[in-house]
Amino acid sequence: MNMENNEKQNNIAERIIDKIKEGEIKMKPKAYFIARMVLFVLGITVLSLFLIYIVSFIIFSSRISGGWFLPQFGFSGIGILLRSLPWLLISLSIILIIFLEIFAEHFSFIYKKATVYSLFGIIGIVLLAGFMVGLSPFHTSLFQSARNGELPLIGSFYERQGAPRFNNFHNVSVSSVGDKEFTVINPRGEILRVITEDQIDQELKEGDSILLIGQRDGDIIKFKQMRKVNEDANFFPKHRPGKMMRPPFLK
Amino acid sequence: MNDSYLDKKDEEIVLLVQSGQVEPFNILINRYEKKMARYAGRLLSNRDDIQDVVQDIFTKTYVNIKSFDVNRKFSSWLYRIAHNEIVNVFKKNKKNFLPIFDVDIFFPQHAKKNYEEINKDLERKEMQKMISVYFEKLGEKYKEPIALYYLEDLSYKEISEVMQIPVVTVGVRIKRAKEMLKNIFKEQGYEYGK
Repeated sequence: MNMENNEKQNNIAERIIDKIKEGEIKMKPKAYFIARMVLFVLGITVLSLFLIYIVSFIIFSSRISGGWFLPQFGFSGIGILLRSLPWLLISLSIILIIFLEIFAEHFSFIYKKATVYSLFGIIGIVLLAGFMVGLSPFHTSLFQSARNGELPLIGSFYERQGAPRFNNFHNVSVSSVGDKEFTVINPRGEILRVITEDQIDQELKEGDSILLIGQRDGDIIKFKQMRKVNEDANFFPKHRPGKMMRPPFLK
Repeated sequence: MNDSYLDKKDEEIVLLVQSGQVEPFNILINRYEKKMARYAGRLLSNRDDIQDVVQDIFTKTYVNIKSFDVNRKFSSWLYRIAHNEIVNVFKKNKKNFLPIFDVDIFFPQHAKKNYEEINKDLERKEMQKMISVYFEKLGEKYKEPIALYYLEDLSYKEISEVMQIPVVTVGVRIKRAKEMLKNIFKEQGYEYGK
């Protein structure tokens, strides 16, 4: 039995050398490995950029919807924020992070350390880059183009997901101020009428960015709470009565 | 076979193979065939699987030899190919080899202090004896690192490269495997170290 195994083992060398000489086993050229490595690195780069894009979009979306400022309203604001987060995009980001970690584990400087380090490293870098892009004018200009109908392919995505509509909080810009009501314009270009039961204790003027909490019913928001926020004025289209929808109370 | 190859280092021979010479590859097969058979034999129970795996290891080595960087250690690279081939056999046989998620890889720092390499020759010899008798009693994830360390004489760093797991995880697994073997040894009525 042992002799048989030894013979079989000895045959391995002969068999392989014969196959090489006959051309059955061929060496892959160096260019193949270089191309494979380039594709792999390219794949990781594209995946990373897409991940940063999604994370920055989530940040942009929470800014433009006003969710970004909700924690200023205390626990109730945080509750509303958690319910309003784009969980589908967040889940997609988590899946992409897991894929990125799996791909990164192919590099010795990654797999030689505990996974927890590389995972937190990836999350940290993605969040940092996501915040930088999310706070830059990148998405705002794309959103503006989408609003003007000048963004093909991803335009509808920006219109639907870029400024999601919530019924209980609203990121708006003041367009006109009355006694017990005022009108606002949201990033989608909708003009809304805000009615209050009492006098508003904060002075409002046209062009102020505010985050409103209050139930929306059609084009009317029943005022509950508000905070003035220092938000990008480019989020809101210029209010030009006559060209856009007129506020209902002016009709 | 040309005797002038015999004095050459593995990496020098690889360089010759990469340049298109076939004969030097025979030297590499002769140098590592038994080691590969022993390594695969430790982890695979089927004799036919072992023969096929050894042949596949050297076939893959030749096919991919141009991807090998001669500034690195050839044996570590070869063991990495062998590891992949053995994992493929496990997958084919649907044997539960290693878990997809392992806390030892994710966060092994809790055992950081205990992973220094064991260099005592006496301990090494005793462990080798224990492994040869009780190897099958070890859990699947402990078999490979302890075999590579005590039987194939690979360092923790090399085992980390072969298995593509953190160096500290290699240390943790070897330490646990040693403890398991010592316990088995004691259960059999022997005393470790005497």
